Amino acid sequence: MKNKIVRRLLAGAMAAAMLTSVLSACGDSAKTGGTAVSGAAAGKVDTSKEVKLKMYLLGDKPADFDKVYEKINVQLKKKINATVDVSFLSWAEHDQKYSLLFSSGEDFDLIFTAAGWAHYETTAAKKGFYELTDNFISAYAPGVKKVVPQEAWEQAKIDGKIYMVPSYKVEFDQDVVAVRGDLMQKYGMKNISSPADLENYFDKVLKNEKNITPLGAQGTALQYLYLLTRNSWKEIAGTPLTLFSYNFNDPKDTKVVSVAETEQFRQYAKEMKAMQTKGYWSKDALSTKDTRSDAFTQGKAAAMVWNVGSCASYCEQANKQHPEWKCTIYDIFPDKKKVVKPYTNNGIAINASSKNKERAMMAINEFMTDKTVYDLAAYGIEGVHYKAVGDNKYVTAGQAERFPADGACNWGWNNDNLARTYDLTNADPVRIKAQELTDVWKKNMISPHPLNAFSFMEQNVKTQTSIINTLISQYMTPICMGLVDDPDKAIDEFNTKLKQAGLDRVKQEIQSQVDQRIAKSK
Amino acid sequence: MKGSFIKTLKKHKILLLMLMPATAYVLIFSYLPIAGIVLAFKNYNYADGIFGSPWAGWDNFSFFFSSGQAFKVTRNTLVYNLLFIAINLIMQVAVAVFLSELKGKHYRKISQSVMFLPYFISWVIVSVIAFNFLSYDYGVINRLLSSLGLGKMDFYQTPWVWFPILIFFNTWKSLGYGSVMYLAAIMGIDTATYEAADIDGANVFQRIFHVTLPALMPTIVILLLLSVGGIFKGNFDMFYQLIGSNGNLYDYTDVIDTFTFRALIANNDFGMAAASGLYQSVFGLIAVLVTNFCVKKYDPDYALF
Repeated sequence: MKNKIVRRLLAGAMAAAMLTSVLSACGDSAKTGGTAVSGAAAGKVDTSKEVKLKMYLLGDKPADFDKVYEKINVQLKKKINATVDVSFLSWAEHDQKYSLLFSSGEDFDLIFTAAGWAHYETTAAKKGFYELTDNFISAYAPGVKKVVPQEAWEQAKIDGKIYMVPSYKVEFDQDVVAVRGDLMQKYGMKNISSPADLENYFDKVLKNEKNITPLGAQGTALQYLYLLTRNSWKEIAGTPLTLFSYNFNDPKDTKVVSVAETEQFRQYAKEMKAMQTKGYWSKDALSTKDTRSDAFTQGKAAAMVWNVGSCASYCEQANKQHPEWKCTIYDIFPDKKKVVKPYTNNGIAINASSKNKERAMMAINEFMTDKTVYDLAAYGIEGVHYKAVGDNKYVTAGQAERFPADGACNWGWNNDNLARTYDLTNADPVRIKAQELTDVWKKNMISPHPLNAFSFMEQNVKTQTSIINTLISQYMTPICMGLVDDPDKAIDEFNTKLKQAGLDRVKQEIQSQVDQRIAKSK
Repeated sequence: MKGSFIKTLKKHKILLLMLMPATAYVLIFSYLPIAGIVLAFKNYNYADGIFGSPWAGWDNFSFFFSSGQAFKVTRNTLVYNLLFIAINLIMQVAVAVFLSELKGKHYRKISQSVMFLPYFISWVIVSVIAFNFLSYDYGVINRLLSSLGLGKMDFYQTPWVWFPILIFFNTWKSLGYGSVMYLAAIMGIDTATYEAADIDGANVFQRIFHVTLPALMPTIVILLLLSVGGIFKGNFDMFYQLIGSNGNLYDYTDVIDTFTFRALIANNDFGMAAASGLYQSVFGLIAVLVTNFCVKKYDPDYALF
């Protein structure tokens, strides 16, 4: 006992002073093996003892969150004799704090995770999550088992093991452009359906508007559209950002594309340089503290580039304050097929040292499949935050901004079967436009590429990827923003540095993991 | 021998008691963590913890040295810190001496407070202030330049200008706080020495150079030695907030801490972070030993140990 305290003290204190970044650690994280599950049906699980589950979500806590979760807890208490106590890791701090939760031995049960952008691969590699075996899932979350498609479980596998419950939601991974309808009208433009149209719009803005610039200070806004979408490339999850991609158009093509070495990258860099020189975005782009939406919603930028959901909601917000703006959205590559995000883009996992893994799994089951709980967590309290329209539609109600729909990190247990869509009768035109776009995309969907679900594990080459990460911010970002004197020279230098850092080794490792994955799934 | 130890304890028990919190603090936050150095040689995972994780040999160090950036970031860290130390020392001592020579009490208090204030402003705020001054499109300086008909200065694309800018902000922020220590030391100088100087007919400058500064020497040396210990550690807050992710400025502004942060923020690798911390600490220790040796050569009384 005393020994343990001393060890804790030691381990805890150790971290504080020595490390450069604030790392802390604990020597006695519980060792966990797979708990034997005797295939008991969920109904028979002993829930006589009440438990309080601690859950971590990402993002900013909505104002009415506690009120909503009070109601959720009533339902959870009734069904599985458990309640949840939720804490948030804000967008600004989750990068640092997520791993601290595990290393400091914090006592918690559930945590949001996502492949690619929210610590799934790195935490699983460091043995932070509890492995979800097939038996365990069937025993404690039979509902989840039914809802989540087999493909999603496959995507969640790391070295053949599942560490998260992936969400069930079909989402498009596609940037669109939000523009000002009033400006388009002024220039006599009817439609924006190609990069040339967009550039035409930008040129008109530059010529005619004194206080509006095309994109404000958002220098990398066009990166995904002009570099990736145009070439039907998609970045490989878990690799240094946008440096490694694959052709998502052809399910047979599983070759890893090293973006920086391609001719397309060179062309793109020159285009960006030309655009920056014209003044599409500010020279301050590298140092700005503005968020993507700031300049557009403040009327200082004529366009914003983001995914369809964000663009639509910021347009709606802007239209409410300035109805004369008539903000709307366009897809500048309507002919390109669109790629669907992997199911693992959102998910929820159980902490390996949780003391209530079974009940935690049962809670996930309720969050994902109980209509009452689902509606509460996603839309808030009926009549206060939203109004239900039938079983599967909703409109916002008076207090909506105190608990925005789909805004409280409920994404980990997204379930398209229970989700409501916004009722479009009387909605802002931009909502209808967004719906039209996704409807077209859905019709145009391509057969899923095997790499959509692939996540790269960097353990074997982490020295190389660490260095490459530093090179990206030093060389690639300025190139993508057109903020270099000579794009050709800058790219050559970038590539030389990448080669020195071991780019080929990393590429080889990615390709071999990809090949293994493909071979296994056959 | 043992008896005398207990006797000493008894005799100075109040003083020793007063020393306790500081000792405990240093013990817990500086000595105990030394065991964590082992992390630099481990392939850390959550389940096995610090001591149970598998060994990694020198692998954790390789990212730093095989990056091709080790020399550049070490050089930047060293040069900036040397300049910071030198400039801060001169400015702070000068300010302390001026303040102590000022006759008007109110004026002295006010100017001291004004100089102290920047110390409490966080680097996040400073970076916003800096951006509003230096921005190309909307910055105060560029607005002024263009309204005077002069060409604009593109601060965020011109690496070398950050050299003086960073030094300026560092000095501005630490001046008031740093000078307080010297001011306290000056207040502690026996007034009899000043009276003797007056009687000998010393003027203001003679008083400063022959009484104040020599009496300040031990304080200067101790503070100098302490700051030399951190010479391999970049001021992360400052560099990260003011420069951020502006890659075009890195040649002049990347220090070990920001480099490590950028390399490891994506994969959160504890071992590599510990390795980089160890590298800084070892060289910091060497720097302290060397400086102390030099000081000892010059005058053994001034040396720290």
